[in-house]
Amino acid sequence: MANEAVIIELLGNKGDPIQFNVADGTAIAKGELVKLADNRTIITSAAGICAGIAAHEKVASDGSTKIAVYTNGIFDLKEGAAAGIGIGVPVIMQGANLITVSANGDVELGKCLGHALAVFAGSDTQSVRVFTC
Amino acid sequence: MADEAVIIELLGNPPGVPIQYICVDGDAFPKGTILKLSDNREADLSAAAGNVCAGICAMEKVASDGSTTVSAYTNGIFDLKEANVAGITVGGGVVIGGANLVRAETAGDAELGKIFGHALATFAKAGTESVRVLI
Repeated sequence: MANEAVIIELLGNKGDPIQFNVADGTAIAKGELVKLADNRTIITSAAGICAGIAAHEKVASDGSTKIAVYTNGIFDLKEGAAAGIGIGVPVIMQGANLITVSANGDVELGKCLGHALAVFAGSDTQSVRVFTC
Repeated sequence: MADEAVIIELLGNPPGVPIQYICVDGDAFPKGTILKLSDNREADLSAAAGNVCAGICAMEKVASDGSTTVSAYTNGIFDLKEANVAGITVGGGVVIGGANLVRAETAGDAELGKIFGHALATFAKAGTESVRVLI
């Protein structure tokens, strides 16, 4: 995968990592924006509800069914819908390791993963204050 | 300036979860100032209703002291003053209402990232009460 998050600063207790379940056969890259699925499971990055940012690499079929994800920090993330994002505006997952500006109703559905710390022009990479779960 | 936030309790780890922002060397921020977020992770004085909050200034920043960074608390309980607009219901979301002032959220504020905490007590108009700040 590409466009993984880049750690700028880990906040809280070293990024406040939370342990999630993951299928043994799933491969997750460090820095991947992971999607929350049922039963405290994470799956590979796609539009949906963000569980956090993978804190380490998970190799497919390595026998592990647990993974830690950062939930609190500042990360460089890429915008994926060619949409500008205003300063401080909440952001959501748009696709594989991509974000975009939130729309009406996203806050109520728990889709917002943080807010922009700089203005996004569209399809560019800027810092985001991530605070999930 | 006046009406700076008063620390009641710093939450999280480290206490208050301070975040470092950039600022202009010439800026002067008293400790407890409600800072607004500007572009490129920059903090500035809150000035107008509807500013996006960066946090509560964790230190005094003296104008032209050579420093271009400032820390802001993002997690805690602070006494803040209502902007003489209207009362705030307990539990209601609050947004910046002016320089070091808050007001009740209005429709659309959540989508724009303006809500930075909720009232822990009922605010009278222009009253000062505790707010749970979490940014």
